[in-house]
Amino acid sequence: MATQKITIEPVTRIEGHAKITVHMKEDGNVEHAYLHINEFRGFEKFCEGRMLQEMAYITPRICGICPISHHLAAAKATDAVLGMNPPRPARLLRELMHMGQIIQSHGMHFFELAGPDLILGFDSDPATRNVVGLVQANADLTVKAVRLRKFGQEIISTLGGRRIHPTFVVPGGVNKTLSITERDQLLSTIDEMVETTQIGIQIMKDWAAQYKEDIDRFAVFPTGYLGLVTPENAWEMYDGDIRLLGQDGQQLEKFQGANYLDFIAEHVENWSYLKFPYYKPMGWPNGSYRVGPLGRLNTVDKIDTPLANAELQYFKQINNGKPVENTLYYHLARMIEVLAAVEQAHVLLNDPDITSTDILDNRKNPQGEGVGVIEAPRGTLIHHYVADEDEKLTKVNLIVSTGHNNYAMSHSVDMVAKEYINGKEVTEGLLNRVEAAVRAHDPCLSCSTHAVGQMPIEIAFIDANGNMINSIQR
Amino acid sequence: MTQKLPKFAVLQLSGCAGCEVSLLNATDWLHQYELVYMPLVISADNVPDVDILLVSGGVQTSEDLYKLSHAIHHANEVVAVGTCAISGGVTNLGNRDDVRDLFLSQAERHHLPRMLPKCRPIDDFITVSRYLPGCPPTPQLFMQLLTPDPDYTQKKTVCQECGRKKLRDMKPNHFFGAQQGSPDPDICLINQGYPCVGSSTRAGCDALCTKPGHPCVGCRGPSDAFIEKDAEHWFSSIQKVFESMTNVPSQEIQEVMRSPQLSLFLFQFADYDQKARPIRPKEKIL
Repeated sequence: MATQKITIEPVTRIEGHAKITVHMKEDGNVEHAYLHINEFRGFEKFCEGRMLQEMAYITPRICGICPISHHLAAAKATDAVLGMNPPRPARLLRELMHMGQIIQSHGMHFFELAGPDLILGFDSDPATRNVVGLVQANADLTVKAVRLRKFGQEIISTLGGRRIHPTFVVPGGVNKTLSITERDQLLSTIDEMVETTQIGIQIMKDWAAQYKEDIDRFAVFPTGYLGLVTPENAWEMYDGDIRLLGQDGQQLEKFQGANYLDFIAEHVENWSYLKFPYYKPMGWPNGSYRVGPLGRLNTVDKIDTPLANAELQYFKQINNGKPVENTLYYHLARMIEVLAAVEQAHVLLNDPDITSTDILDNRKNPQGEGVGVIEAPRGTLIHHYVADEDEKLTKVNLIVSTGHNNYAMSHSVDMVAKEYINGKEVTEGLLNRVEAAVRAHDPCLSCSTHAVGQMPIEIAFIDANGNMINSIQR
Repeated sequence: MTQKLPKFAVLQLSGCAGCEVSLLNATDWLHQYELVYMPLVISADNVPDVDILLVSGGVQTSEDLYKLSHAIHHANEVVAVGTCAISGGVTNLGNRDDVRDLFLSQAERHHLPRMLPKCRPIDDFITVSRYLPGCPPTPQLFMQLLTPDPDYTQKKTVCQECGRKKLRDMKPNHFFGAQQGSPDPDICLINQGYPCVGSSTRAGCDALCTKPGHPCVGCRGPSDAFIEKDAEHWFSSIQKVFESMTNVPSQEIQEVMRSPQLSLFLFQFADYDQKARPIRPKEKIL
């Protein structure tokens, strides 16, 4: 009775270490496919006992792709613990740095991680289905994409000294002003970046039109959606309340980040080091929701900058005003967000306060406990600290973006495996689609397994008796 | 490919991918090397035969060890990249006993790699031909490794790159914590009460933390003067600098030096608990 298990390991073109196991039935169809997150890193635990102010420097090392997200979430949580209020210019500068991060991280995903599937094709030769192949296939686009990502990194390094793991935030503000020369330098390339981003959006729209059938077959399923919003429910990345929508697009909750424990709980499965957050009142797994670009664009009513808002309206009509459920639309949503981030950076750079020297307020009113929430590129990021009177940490809880999407990623892997694999002939291209189900979410597994560990992919095919018949490791 | 380019691979063990992103930021190698393995951007199952293998991250799980042991047989040269691979870095903070207990309690999970008793630098297991320090190493250093410029020189310490003025008559009575207040932009951070370890940290980063006002936490590891000695030499050198440049009571300096709570320890002494650490010869370090 040979039923089988196929293993894909490591899952590639994602951040971190994961594997997928596809368990087969006797008739050759898929019984269930699992996404195993292989990392365990322990940040929450080893940060206990360390000094509060180190958090903005330790936690970026959770992930080198979006270190700014942790740098800023840590800053906000630290401010909350100490009861400090950064002056307006400091908040604007932090938000500007965050926009740089969104541009560079989303840009990297589009170009270096997911782009090869979209532009070269899911079934193209895996040896060249990567950024190097993309450079050879479309040098012109490559140059533009590199410059876009560089622009994001320039914002970060102008403010923080370095592009990865920068040193910018301090409790109550930031440590560096933005000079007028630096501001003008950044402003001078905004138009080009808007243009490049619009090219990217057009590529995604054309791709979506061409592969409509794939998009409608590929992991389309209902969930809730969660993200930060402004008081008017517009797109917001740095500050704001958390809004949660149900499957039909109706608002279930809108709450302050500090109260997240009243609404969010975490489920544990013994086949993954990554926990599964869900909306408490609805229970597991009914209370599962999605975050990140797709989750955010479903969650917001509008974007406050004109070009991105026009694209949002296009996005909203894809499912006639209802939430967009197709996993592959994460890619279009991500490009629309790059446009929103470029426009928002433009707004911030034009604010008279952005070059102010009033960047630090040292006054403290210690609270002992604090929560910092921001929208990281991959979704809502929550840092929660408790500290004693010496500002030494006694408890740390982190709910990281990719964690919120754990249900969605696992469910997508299962759905795509069942849809595309029928056991007769399993090609590399089909397995790449299973990987792409993970990739679309742009997971950061080093981040998400802060509490526990590390992520390449293995897809294992297992038979009905639990015997492994085939294993594909990457 | 019209000509045959040298091949290289990047193996990421337990770390954050920051080293990989920094490598991608150094785009100039694209036309001079063929990158054949790097799960972050390349879909390939195993490390094929390569000229250079770059390894980032610490050895934390059974899988890390297995992959490392397997990969080195396919490489002419192995380079340890970044603080985690070289000496532990932030990944090593999990080596505290109570954290290891939590890690090891995960042993019964299904289909998941097991945790090793401690996270280790890669030269605990294999011979490394070169080290590329930094958290992460700068793109310029990656280029210097891949396409060496014979005229490349670097200063000895971060202190020399920083250029802040040291004042004899400005001596703080106490240390601040890691980052507080708004430091004067031209004066040495130690004069202003910050426990900065730039005086013994290897140069090559262009002092990008200390210039805007953040004390050096030593992410690039020790300078040539200390790299081949045990941690105690290095330690006492920092202590002497603090003693001569401040009026901080020696008791407090001791506490600052020894306290595992200071960011001083994030990188510099991440592997200080190791008794028989292999010597890392200075010629091997970029």
